[in-house]
Amino acid sequence: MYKKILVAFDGSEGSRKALKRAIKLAYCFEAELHSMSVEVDLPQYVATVGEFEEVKRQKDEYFEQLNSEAIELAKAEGVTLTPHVVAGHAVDSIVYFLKQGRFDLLVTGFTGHSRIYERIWGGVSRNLARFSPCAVLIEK
Amino acid sequence: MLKKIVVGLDGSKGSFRALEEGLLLASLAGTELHTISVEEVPRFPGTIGEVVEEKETADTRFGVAISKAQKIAEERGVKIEAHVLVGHEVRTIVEFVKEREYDLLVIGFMGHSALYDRVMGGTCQALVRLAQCAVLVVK
Repeated sequence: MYKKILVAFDGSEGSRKALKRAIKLAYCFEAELHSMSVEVDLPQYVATVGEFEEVKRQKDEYFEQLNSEAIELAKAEGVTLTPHVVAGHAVDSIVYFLKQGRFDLLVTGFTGHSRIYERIWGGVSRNLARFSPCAVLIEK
Repeated sequence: MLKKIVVGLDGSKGSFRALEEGLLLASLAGTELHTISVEEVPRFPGTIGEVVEEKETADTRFGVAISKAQKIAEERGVKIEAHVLVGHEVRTIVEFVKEREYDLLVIGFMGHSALYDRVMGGTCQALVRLAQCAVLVVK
């Protein structure tokens, strides 16, 4: 029984497919639906705090836009989506969140933004399948 | 959404956990559940007889797992259809999924080789990579 579903959402085509699947599943199971977007690659070596803040702001805006679209997509199917955005390491953050929130299903895409490796199972997706404390649905 | 669901059933505990999830999904989707069990063919079969014999052994070996699965399915009120094939495990399942156009393949994280807790089974990894449908990995 899936009562709490998390979808890993980075805005890539792969994660959009995962989102659509997660919405449908949440509807079927009448489950709580959450999404997690992780801001990765925040600059490590900056001269001023301003530089860091600028990049963070851009990423915050990117995910804010993405998440409002995602909320609407879910709403159209009669599902409430609660988005979450954190900065850090993608797999770490998501696995931690799954454990903390006691989610019972993770939905993820097969690949993310990395266009080069389209036929190869994405690193983040694969590691999520490995380390997730709960079942993982890999959408293609 | 989910019209055709198949579970990889190799008789391991992991695959029975996958079966339970598959049954749950099938009952919610109002469809029947399929299972696929693959017996690896001898590497270099000498005669067709060897392959046929392997198939008969497979039917028996998987027979136990399949009747157990059928009993569980009955308890959950889901109709189940079992398939037993002989061949290379991953390739057979991938081709079977493609041929029959399943929407979802449900598999265990680990099969019979339960050596390490966090290491994902080789078959599981390969199936996620190659199956042409969504894959649900059950832990």
